[in-house]
Parts: sequence; structure tokens; C-alpha cells
Amino acid sequence: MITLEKVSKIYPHKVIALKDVSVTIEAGEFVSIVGQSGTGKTTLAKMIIAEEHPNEGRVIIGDWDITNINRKDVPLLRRQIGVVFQDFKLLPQKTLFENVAFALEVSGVSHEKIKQIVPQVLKIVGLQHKQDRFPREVSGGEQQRVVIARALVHRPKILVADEPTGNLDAINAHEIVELLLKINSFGTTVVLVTHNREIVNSLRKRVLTIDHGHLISDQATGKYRL
Amino acid sequence: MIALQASRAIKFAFQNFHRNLWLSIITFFIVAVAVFSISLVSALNVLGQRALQTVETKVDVTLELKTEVTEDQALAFKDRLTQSPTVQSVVYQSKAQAMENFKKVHEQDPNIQELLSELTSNPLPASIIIKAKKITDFESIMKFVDNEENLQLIANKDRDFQDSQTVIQKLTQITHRIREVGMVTSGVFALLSLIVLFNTIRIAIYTHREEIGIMRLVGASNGFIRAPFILESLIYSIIGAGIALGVIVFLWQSTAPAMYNFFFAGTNVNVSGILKEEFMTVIGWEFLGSIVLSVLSAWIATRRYLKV
Repeated sequence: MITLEKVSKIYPHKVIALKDVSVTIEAGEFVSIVGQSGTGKTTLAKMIIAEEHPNEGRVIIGDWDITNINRKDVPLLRRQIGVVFQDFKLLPQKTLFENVAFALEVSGVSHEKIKQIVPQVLKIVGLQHKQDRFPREVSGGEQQRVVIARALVHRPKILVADEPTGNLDAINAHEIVELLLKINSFGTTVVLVTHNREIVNSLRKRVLTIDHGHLISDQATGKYRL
Repeated sequence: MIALQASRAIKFAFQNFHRNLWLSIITFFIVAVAVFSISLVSALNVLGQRALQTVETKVDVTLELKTEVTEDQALAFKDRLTQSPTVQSVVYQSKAQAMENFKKVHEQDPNIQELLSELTSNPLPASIIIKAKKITDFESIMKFVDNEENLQLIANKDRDFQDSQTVIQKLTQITHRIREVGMVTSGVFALLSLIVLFNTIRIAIYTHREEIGIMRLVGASNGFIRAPFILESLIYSIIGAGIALGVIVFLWQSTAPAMYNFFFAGTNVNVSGILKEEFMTVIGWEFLGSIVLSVLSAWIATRRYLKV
């Protein structure tokens, strides 16, 4: 499903983000990518959505080699992958409903379908009753749930969550992880980038550990080892 | 699909406009002020140019004829002058007409009227009054007059003839200078307005830079992101420039009598007519220019934040 072949990313001044990373993530898997801050976890996540491109190696999503993806094709790729960010990245001038609807609008989905789908997805994340509020009018945990709703609304096969609990308290973080597990149970591949030890240990799912740009461990039911 | 995307672009543009109302009002206000300032300078320039033209058309040269010149000789001289392509008009004024005009001009002056009543003969000379098509044409007309055949008919060749040439030369220089200053001033204001307009739109879009990045990450295409911002800029320029130009037209019409007295007193110039004949074209270009510039600014500004 997701294949990285000998991927290296070296930034200017010889800053190594990733070095010779090879990994395959199968469809329907739940994979946690762990490591300390600045070790290259986020760079790896960004490569999956073509926000970064490798200097060496190949990145393949399904049958699509996106290593040197054309800029015009990037939106097409991103419409097939749901992304959850640590800093939410909600559109501040749009309501929660409009934020979720936006992911469908960019794909040209009709008004009628949007009116039908968005409330359902907001219901899954427990925010249907707050759909007309703006992001600033709800809590951090609720904002993150909206982000998940936005990532899910076009039914992606892959969901990339980059430190989704980084800005949340323990209770909200737990709720978000529960939501990710639920999504995974529907068959969506989940790639969770985190440095939260407790969450990773409680999941008992596959864990990739990255240290200074190198993949140092790949455990089928791993724990946070650093 | 295109209709759906277009309707969404329009919806987002108006949404941006009213959800960032203060920024929209400020942007629209700056656009209006920029367009107003260039329009004001253009209006003054158009009026100034027309005033110069009026002054130029008022310039004429009067050649006083010798007393012995017959009317046939004078009319033949007039015909020769009329054939010149640079001559606008030639009027022959007989001695009797000269006296008639003189009386009319001084009819309120009892002393002159008394003096005239005591005259036994008409001392005023017949004359030829020449108007040129352009003020600069006088030089060639004077050269034409300045030949032996013509000079035999003219009484004032040594005195007024040279004075007229000097005055015309100075007037020509002044009108050229005024035109140059008008063009440079308009150019400077146009450039300033251009810079202000360009940067206002850029700043308005700068405040949305993070949103543009988020839209890219969610899978929006460049065109989908860009269209609402371009439309929003269009709204700013259409409303801003529209109101600024509306105010200028209103000011022009309401101050037309005052402008007539200031620039064109004693002429048959129609100030409202200048608005329709000349200034509306300037306004049209300004309106079109502000729209094109807004679209271009929005295009350039969004391009910078679309590299995600």
C-alpha cells in the first residue's frame, strides 16, 4: 500500500532528516512511527502526502510512484489521503460544517451529497450539534475531532496523523486515539506519527522507530523503546 | 462541474468579504482612495489641457492694413491666406466695421462716445484677423505674410508684427511646459496609485496565507484556491473604483459652473461636455486598469503561498 524504498532526505547544510529508510505498510494496517523530536518522523509523513520529496529513493502509494509527482497531480493524491495535523490546520473563517465540507467541495462533490455526508461524519466524531460554530468557538479536542472528520469525509484509504494528540490533554488524547482505532477497524490504513509513549504502548500495534533519520526498529506489536 | 466550481468560487469570495468585514472595508477604502487620487489628477489634467486649447484658439494676429489698400486688394490677401493649410480662419474687418466694433466695446464710456461724435472721418484702419489651427503654426503663417507683396499692404509690420511673434513664441513655450508638467504629474500619481493598489491586494491576501496552505494540504487545486481570491479582488476594485469614479463624476458635475468661471470664463466651452467627450474615456481606462491590476495582484500574491 505504502512503500518507501531507500528513501533519504537531506536538507541544506547537510541536515539529515531521513537516511536509507525502507518500509512497506500494508492496506488496513495501524502503524505508529515514533522517535524523539527532530528525528525525521514528520518528514516521513510529509513524503506520503507529497509535501516533501526525497533526495534519493522512491515513495509509492498503491501503484502510484509519487517520488517526483507533478505539482498538478498533488491535489489528486491528497484527496485520497486523509491528514490530521498537530496544529489542527482548520480554516478559521469557516464553520465546523464548512471545514469538513471543504474537503468534498475541492473534489467537486454536489451540494446535496455534502449536506447528506457531512452531518453523518460530524456525528461520528460527536460534533453534529456544534456544526455551525467557528473553530475558535470550540475546544482543542473538538477542533482535532473536526480535523479527523475532515480527513475522513472523502473516505480515504489512508489516514496520516502527525502528532494528533500533541496539543491535547490526556482525556482528549485518549478520545482521539480511540477514534483512530475505530477508523482503522473500518479498513482504513492509519499512520500515526507520535512521541507519546503511553499511547504507543497502549495500542499494541506495529511500531516503526526512527532515530536521527534512520529506521532502527520495526516491531509488529511494538512498544516505545527510546 | 465548471459551473459548480464557479458557484463555489463566488460563494467563497463573498464569504471571505463579509467574514473579514473590517479588512474588506479597509481594502476597499484604500482602493477607492488610490483610484480617486489618480482620477482627481487626471480630471485637473484634462481641464488644464482644455483650458490651454481654449487659450490657443483665442490667439489671433491682427494685421492693420494701410489706408490706401482697397477692399479688393484686402479680400485677395484674405483669399491667399485662407488657402494656407495651417490657417484656421481669416476675417477681413473693414474700416466701418472696425469703427462699429470700437463703438460697441466702449458704449459705456461717455468720454469716448463724445470724442467719437466729434470725429469727421474714420481714423481706424481696416484689418485682417488670422487664427491658426495650432499655435505653433503662426510661425509659418508669419513667414508667408512676410513677403514683399503682402508687406506692401500692412501698416503695422515693424511694430505689432514682431510683438505678436514674440508673444506667440512665449505662449507656445508656456503651453508646452504646462502640458509636460501635467503629463509628469499624472504619470507620478498613476505610478503611486498602481503601487498602492497592488500592495493593498497583496496584503489582503497575505492575511490568508495560512489558509491557502491548508487548502493545498486538503487537496484543493491551485485554480480552486485562487478563484475566490481573484473574485474578491474584483469586488474590491469594482466597488472601490466604481465609488471613487462616481464621486469624481458627481464632483465634476456639481462644480461645473465654478470650473467654467475658473478655467473658461468668456468662452463657449461646455464643462459638462468635456466630461462626456474626454474624461469619461479616461475614467473608463482607469476602471479597466484597476480591475486588471487587482486580478494581476491577486494572481501574483496567491502564487507565492500555493507552493505547499
